Order: sequence, then C-alpha cells, then structure tokens
Amino acid sequence: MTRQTWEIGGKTLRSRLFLGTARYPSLETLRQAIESSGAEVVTVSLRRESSTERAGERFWSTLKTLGVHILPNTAGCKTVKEALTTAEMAREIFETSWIKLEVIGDDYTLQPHPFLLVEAAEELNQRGFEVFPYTTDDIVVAERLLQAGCKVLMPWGAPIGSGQGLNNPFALKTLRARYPNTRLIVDAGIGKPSHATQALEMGYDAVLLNTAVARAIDPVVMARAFALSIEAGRLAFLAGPMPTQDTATPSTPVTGTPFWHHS
Amino acid sequence: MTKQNQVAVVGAGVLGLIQALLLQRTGHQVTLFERESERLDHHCSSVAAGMIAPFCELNEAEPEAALWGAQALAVWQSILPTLKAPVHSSFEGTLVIAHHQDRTGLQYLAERVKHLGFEHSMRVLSRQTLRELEPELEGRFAEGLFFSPEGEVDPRMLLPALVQTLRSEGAILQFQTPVEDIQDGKLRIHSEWREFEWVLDCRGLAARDIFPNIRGVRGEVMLLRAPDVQLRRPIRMVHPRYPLYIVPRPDHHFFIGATAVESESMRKTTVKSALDMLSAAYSLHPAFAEAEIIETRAHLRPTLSEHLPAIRQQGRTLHLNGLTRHGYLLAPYLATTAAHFVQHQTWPEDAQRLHRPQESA
Repeated sequence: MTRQTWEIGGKTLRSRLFLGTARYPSLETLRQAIESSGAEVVTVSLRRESSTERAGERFWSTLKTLGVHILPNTAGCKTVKEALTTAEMAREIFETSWIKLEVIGDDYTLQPHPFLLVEAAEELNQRGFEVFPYTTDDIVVAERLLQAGCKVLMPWGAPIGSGQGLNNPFALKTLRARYPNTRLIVDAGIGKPSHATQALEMGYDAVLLNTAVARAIDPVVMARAFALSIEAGRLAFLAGPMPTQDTATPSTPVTGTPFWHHS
Repeated sequence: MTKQNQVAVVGAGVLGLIQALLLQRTGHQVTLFERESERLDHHCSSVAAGMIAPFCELNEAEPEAALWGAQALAVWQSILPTLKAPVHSSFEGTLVIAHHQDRTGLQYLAERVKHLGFEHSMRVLSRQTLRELEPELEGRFAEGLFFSPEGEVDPRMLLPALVQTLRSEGAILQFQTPVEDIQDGKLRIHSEWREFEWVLDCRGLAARDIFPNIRGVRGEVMLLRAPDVQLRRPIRMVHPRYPLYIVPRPDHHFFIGATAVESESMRKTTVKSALDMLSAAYSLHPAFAEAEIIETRAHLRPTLSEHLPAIRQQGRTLHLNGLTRHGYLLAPYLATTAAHFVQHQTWPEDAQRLHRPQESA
C-alpha cells in the first residue's frame, strides 16, 4: 500500500525518493545506486561551464538513457538572471519544464536567498515552468512562493551536504500542517536513512538527497537503505503514529494484579 | 607483409609510450604512430600532474583504481632509472590536509581507505607530526593524513625521455602520421593498409569509433613559480569540488590541479577554476601570494562510465582506453596487462575487470 502511486508536476510516481547525481565514484556506480534506490526522479545540476556550447552533452545523454525523470537544477546560481538563463537552457537540453530552483544567498551555509528565490520563481512560473523551489523552512517565504504560482515546496532539513538531518522539525511540521494539499519535499541536509524516515512520518511527500548516498562507503547499498527507510516512514504516516505522552502506560492491563502491588 | 614480432602502437600519450617501451623491451619490434608532432604537448598526458597516488585517489575513485594503481609505484620506480634522460620524480608520500570546514572530507577518505583494507599505507597526523613532515606549514593545519608509499613524476620530462629511450632501443617512431582506420591486426595509413602481428590502440578520446560511450571530463591546471615556498612532497587539499594537488617541481615550480568538470569544452582555464586553484595554494602557504603564474592549461580526460580503464580485443588488435584522471597511476597496470596478453595470449587472472563488455549506460 505504500507503493501506491502519487502525482507531482504532472507525472505519476511510485517512489518517494529524489536522488541527486553528483559526487559518485563513477557514472556506473550512480546507475546502480539509482537502480537499487528505485528512484524515478534524479536531479542534475546544470553548471555554466557544462552548458556553454553544450559541452556537457555526453554526460547528459548518458543520464537521459537511465529511464528516470530528470529534474534539472539551477545549482550554484546567485542571481535571478543566472537562474533564469540556466532554467531556459535546462528546458532545452532535457526537454522538460521541470526545474529545481536554487538561488543561493550565502556562500557558507548555501542558504537559499528568499527574496531572489521568490522573484525567480514568479518569472519561471509565468514562463510555464514547473518550479520546484529549494527554500528554507520559513513559512512566510513559503506563502510567497505559493502566491508566485509554485505547486511544490522543497524546504531544507539542514544545509546542503551537512548530513545533519531535520534541524528544525517544529518548523517542518508547521509547514506540513499549514499546507496539507501542497506537495512538500525535504531537500538537503539528509544524512542517514532515519532522517528520511522522520520526514516521511511527518507526512512529507518525498525527500531529495545526494551526498548521503554518493559519499557512503557503499553508495549502492546505502541507496537501498534509503528506499526502505522512506517506505517505512510513509507506512508509519499512513498508519498514524500513536500520540506521545509524558507518563508510562503499561501495555498489559493491571486489573488482574493483586491490590497490594498497586502503589 | 607481416613480420615476426612486428607490433604497432597508436597514440603517444603516456599509455602509448609506456606500452611501446614494455613491448620493445620484451623482444618486439615496435612502431609507434602519433598523429601530432614530437612536441607531445597536444594531449591530456602533457597537462596531467603525474601523481602516482593510489590511496589518496580513493577520495573519489572506485576501489580498483587503488588496487591496480598500487602496482604502478614499483613499475615506475623500476623504469625511471633505465630511461635515457633524467626525469624528475619523487616517492616521498602524499600529505592530505583540510581546512577546518572541510575536515569531514579527511574522515571520509580515512574511512574509505580502512574499509578497503589499505590502512597500512596511511598514517593519521596530529598538528605536531604534520609540522615535522612539512615544517613550512607551521602548524596551520590541525590534522592530516599521510600516505607514505605514494609518489609523482613530472610528465614534461617523462614523455620526451620515453621518446628518446624508445628511439635508442630501436623502436620506430612515426610522428605526424594519422592512422585513418584500425582493424584486426592492421592499420590504414595514407590510404594503405599495413599489417602487424599485434596492434595496440592507445588513442584516448580519438577512439570513439571503438568506445562510443567515452566522454571527455575537463581538467584545468596551473603552473606557478614560488621561490619562497619550500615543500618536500605533494600536498593534497580536501576541497568541496575538486581533488586538488599542489606538487613541488624543480626550480621552485609548483603544479596545481586539477579541476574536474563534466564538459568537453577546450576553452582556456576559467576565472572560477583559477580562483579555486589559486586560493587553495594561497591558503596552504601565504608565500604563494608572490608566486608567478607561469602557465594555465585545460584538457579532456578520456572517461568511460565506470571511471576505470578497459581493454577490448578485436582479433589481433587490443583497444586500451578510459584512463580518465588516472593516466600515470594506471597506465603501467594497463600496459603490463596488455603486454602479458601479447606475449602469452592469455589474460592475467586479475585482469577480468579490464576486459569487461561494453557498458550499457
């Protein structure tokens, strides 16, 4: 029942794992990791140095043969203009209107720039893109992105590549509660499968991760571990976790216990 | 016109040259064909750092690169003294250091080295032991890793020395001679077919006819001259994007490189890459601020989807390719394996992974 299909950006998927394609030991290991993760969407960062004169063509055409949806990424963009140019190039190269919008505002934390992100998202939505904005867990920015026409939000769990997991579960829960009908994906900061489980348990629709798999000692096995953890998290969400409480409650009734054993 | 022991090698990069030398020295008459001139500055071998660092490379490479590369250290050390011209090389180990914010990169490398069973080649350094190895770093770095059996060779001296040695040992070298086609044991040159007992195709990216999935991965390098910097051995900096080495070379020269970009562009080094490399050098040693920039270069590494080399046999032709960023590290293993096959017509047991079928991806 976890493998029920779900829809996002006009496509029907089974997997709830979006996998990044950077930093694997080889293209072949990446291919095997995608296979063992069951991921149906992979992100590809389109850097200027590769897109000039379409010089990265051979790498991209290999990715296109992997049989998964490609979500191009405006990774490393710092201005609206850069992000728009990259998005247009991505649409042409990968023949998709999907774009993961990343506009970085701080070099050290790689935090998204909220103002420029909203501005770029507005323009891209008008140009007919399906925008997947990489944002913080700030609810006001989230609201503005939705007003700008986004149908998906991708709040961070923690800074990119940090592997810290969900740094602010409270804010992520608030987002989920506020926007029950918006597609929400935790993007960035996932380090271990348990982090992914936690996001899915909260009701997040999917997680997007890269380094946690690519830089594992065995990326292919770790990819499988994530697939299982995401399935577990989704099942738990559907099953409805019990509420937490402050006192212990015995799972065995105490009615049959002699009264002198009651305190 | 087949003659006993007539062997052709196509391509005079590091692989072609070492392949030619190994075969010439095992009793074959080698003819080497190279489409460019004897200046040997046109291919990616001449742009490389010449690192022979099998264990450091585990930071991004597949395990085979270390397994096969470890054998290269002995091969280079036995070949270098027999060459007819002096070649700068050193086997003083590699020091890996990281700035504070990149130090998880050190942990990753150490974990991977241990996991693959190479920890005997690695020493974990404290601020004090690091200072003993490289006094000029003056304790700027709090931790590091040291891989003692590693080394480096200067490609700009090695490639001409290999040419000179081949010539003096009787190999026939034909530069500016494009090979138009390669088939089972024969080559077409100037529209005529020439037969050989064996043909070894070492053309790199030019061999797309045989390796349709091969791609170029762009690398950029810089050469600096810094009289105020004294380093004893190559330093590898943990860097979020690139595997960067800073390699001391004769006459106060330092080689820095290389970037790795999924691009087949042959444009000159970009400002972004230059900034990455220069700030790495400057943060290693402030005296690099006064260094002269002697040269910047960019080239493409022939890369297969497994990021490991492969050998494909078509009758009496062996196609060798895919050394990617490991030219100097893996050429000896690849050439030794091919030479073994030419000699015995059987593959060494450990060579299974080399002659794998064409990748699907």
